[in-house]
Amino acid sequence: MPTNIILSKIHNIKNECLVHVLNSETCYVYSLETKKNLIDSNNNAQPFSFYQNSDSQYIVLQDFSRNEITPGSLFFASPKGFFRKVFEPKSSDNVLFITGQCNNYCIMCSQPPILKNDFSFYEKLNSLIIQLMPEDTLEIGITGGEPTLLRAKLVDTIRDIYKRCPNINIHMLSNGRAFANKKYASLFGEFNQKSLLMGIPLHSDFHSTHDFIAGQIGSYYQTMIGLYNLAFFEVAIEIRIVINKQNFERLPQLSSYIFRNLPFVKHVAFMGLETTGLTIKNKKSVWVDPIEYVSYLEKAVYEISEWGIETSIYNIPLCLLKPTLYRFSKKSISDWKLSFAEQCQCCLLSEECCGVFSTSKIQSNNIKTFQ
Amino acid sequence: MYHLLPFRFEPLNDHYDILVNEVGDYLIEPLGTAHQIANREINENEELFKDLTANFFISETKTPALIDNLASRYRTKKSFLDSFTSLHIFVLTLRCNQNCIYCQASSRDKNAKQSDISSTDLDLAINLMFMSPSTAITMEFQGGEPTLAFEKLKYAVEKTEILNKEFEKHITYVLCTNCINLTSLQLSFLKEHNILISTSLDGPEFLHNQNRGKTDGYQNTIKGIQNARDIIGHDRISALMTTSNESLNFSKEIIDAYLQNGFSEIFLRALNPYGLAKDNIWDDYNTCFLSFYFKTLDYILELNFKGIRFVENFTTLFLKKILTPFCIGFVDLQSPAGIINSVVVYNYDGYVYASDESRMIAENNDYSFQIGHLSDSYNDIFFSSKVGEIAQVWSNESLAGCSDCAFQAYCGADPVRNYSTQGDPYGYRPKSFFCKRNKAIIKHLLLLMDEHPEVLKVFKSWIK
Repeated sequence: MPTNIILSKIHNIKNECLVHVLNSETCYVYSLETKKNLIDSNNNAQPFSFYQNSDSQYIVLQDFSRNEITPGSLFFASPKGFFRKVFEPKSSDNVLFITGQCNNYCIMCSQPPILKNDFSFYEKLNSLIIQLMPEDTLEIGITGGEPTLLRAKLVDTIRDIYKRCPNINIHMLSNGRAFANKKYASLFGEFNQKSLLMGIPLHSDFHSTHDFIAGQIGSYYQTMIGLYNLAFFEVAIEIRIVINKQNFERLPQLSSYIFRNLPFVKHVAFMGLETTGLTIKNKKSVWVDPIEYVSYLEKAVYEISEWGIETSIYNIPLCLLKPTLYRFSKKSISDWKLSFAEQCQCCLLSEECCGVFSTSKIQSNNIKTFQ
Repeated sequence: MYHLLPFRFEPLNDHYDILVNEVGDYLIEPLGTAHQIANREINENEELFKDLTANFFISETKTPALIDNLASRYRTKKSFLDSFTSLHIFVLTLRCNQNCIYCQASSRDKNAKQSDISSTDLDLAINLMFMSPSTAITMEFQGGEPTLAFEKLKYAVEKTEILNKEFEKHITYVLCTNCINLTSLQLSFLKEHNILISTSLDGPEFLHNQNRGKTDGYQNTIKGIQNARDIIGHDRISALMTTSNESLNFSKEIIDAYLQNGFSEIFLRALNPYGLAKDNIWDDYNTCFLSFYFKTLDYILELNFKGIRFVENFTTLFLKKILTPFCIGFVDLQSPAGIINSVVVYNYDGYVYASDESRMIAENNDYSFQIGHLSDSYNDIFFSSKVGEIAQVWSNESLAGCSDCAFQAYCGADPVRNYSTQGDPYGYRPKSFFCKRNKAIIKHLLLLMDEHPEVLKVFKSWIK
């Protein structure tokens, strides 16, 4: 009997549901709609065995492929046969996905926004995940789309997370525009003594460049006002800079701007592109090989880090950086998106390297092997 | 077309203009740039246009969209005003055991007990200190040599601690002493009550002794510093040097003496035109001080390049104003001025003065900056008509020669110095050495950083 069982499909279920794996042999299945355990109509939680035969009403076990199942993991399953892991207890990459909608349309977006109103679906899914995730979970992300589109209900979600896991670190990603409304920003002040870190992209110190990248005129001003409002309510802030063809030449100026105008930020992350989604469509105006911008990046990283602000580089393999930048490089790519190129197989630095996105459709031609 | 936001400018040298915005961000651009900006000749595709827009020099709209952010930054730069007077100087006695050639405090013989503050006055002074709205207070004991009146100091600290149980202010105690007289018993008291020592060390033995008018001054001071470090802790004692005429030739020797004695920082302090120090020949001295400062700074930078961390604190004060979005708590470089707003002096004679320098000119029977008596009420002292008059001339923003100066954001107003050097608290900038010195230093620092990235790196490390 294998210790890790691979679920690849659920058949014949009438509702969307969440599968909560207890151990290598048993799980609960919860209806997303009623939050009730599907197995037992009296709602007496009955563990469900994976080893029911394949014409079971609920679950069919098929081939043992990529997804390893660890106790505590959560899978979303739909009647259409859609099946996806939504929580992995040992991982620090878990996220609550709030919505696929966004009020920006960034030229390098790796997950282009959708138009469908999906709030209620994700609310149900997320509230179940929060209810079922281990109380000692250390990290969770909140992402989208643009999470603040959920307005005040987002604050309820965060409150629920802290209720379930008082010691958790929450890392939320937002374009920050909603916080231009001081009243809305104030709602997040509730968490300023907790470990909520708000990651907000600032694409440039110049409004037109930022707006062009964000695909929304006026977004720079809203984001900048939002950052000040969050700082006023003492919310911890991370600035995220996705380096692309439009903004790489002013990276040093951006660093200097951040120290003088946003000295309260806790962390600045310089990020390489994930070349999927809109980056492909906008390749001409987005793609730039890291080799071309590394000198600007070096200046920018030192400018801000010398002021004592924690600084990181994400998503750029070491072979494309200067050695002076290695110490800022973090293993930033989520497990499920991480891959290494052919040249990386016998590279001496592959242990320390962040690797590349498996999802990226363009890779630098300058990836090389350290020997 | 764009609109101009308030910014100030002047040529930095033969090649460059310096442009400084309302909150102290600067750009160094080719000569004539200020002129082009004013004439609306900057094209929106130029990088300069982006620099100017992002950094609040120009705006595409009449009111910049981020004006509230700019306002926050302005408030931050002026936040030393938030809590009013924080530095409270107690001149416990004018008696001293040294004979410094440049004495700025006109000290008296060490047995002249009539130069001590009276117990009644000391009580009144402590009460006034607690009236200050500031939640963080520095209580600094000066003289003369305050350890000659150690009983007064002890009384003051103990009384303050008792009263503070009610007021709950954050109080830092500083004792300014030459360390010569400090006994183990006194040091234990300092340790027990968490009192910092600020001492004076002018450099190597020959120089220190020459300046201090004693043959054993250096030995005694170094011994005193060592004793103090042993009991209250190495990092609880800092030193100031005063640049006498003699000091001007000994940059390297002074820094080396500091290093040898275990200090990793120095404050290169020019002589001030107060007290006995007034008889110097000022013009010569001032010019020489500038070259001394530049030379010494070069030597200090060399040490840093070699990996020896050594900080010049006067430079650091300017650097914080030039490079960071924050303000500093140094009373000589503030506008509105540090006097009264940040510092007040309770003098041994029972009177309250606007600053340390104010009580020093009073020793020459000039009471222009005496703002009241300790027995007066807080409001009668701090909101007197005299303070109102001083307030007319304590802001660079409204002083001729300062209001349009490119370096306004980095400088300060000092009506007391204007008065003592020029006879008029308003001051006349073209002949002011305070102005000449600060401008020269600021320009020097800006060019150093612009031309030498490695200097900028050292400077940033000093600010942290």
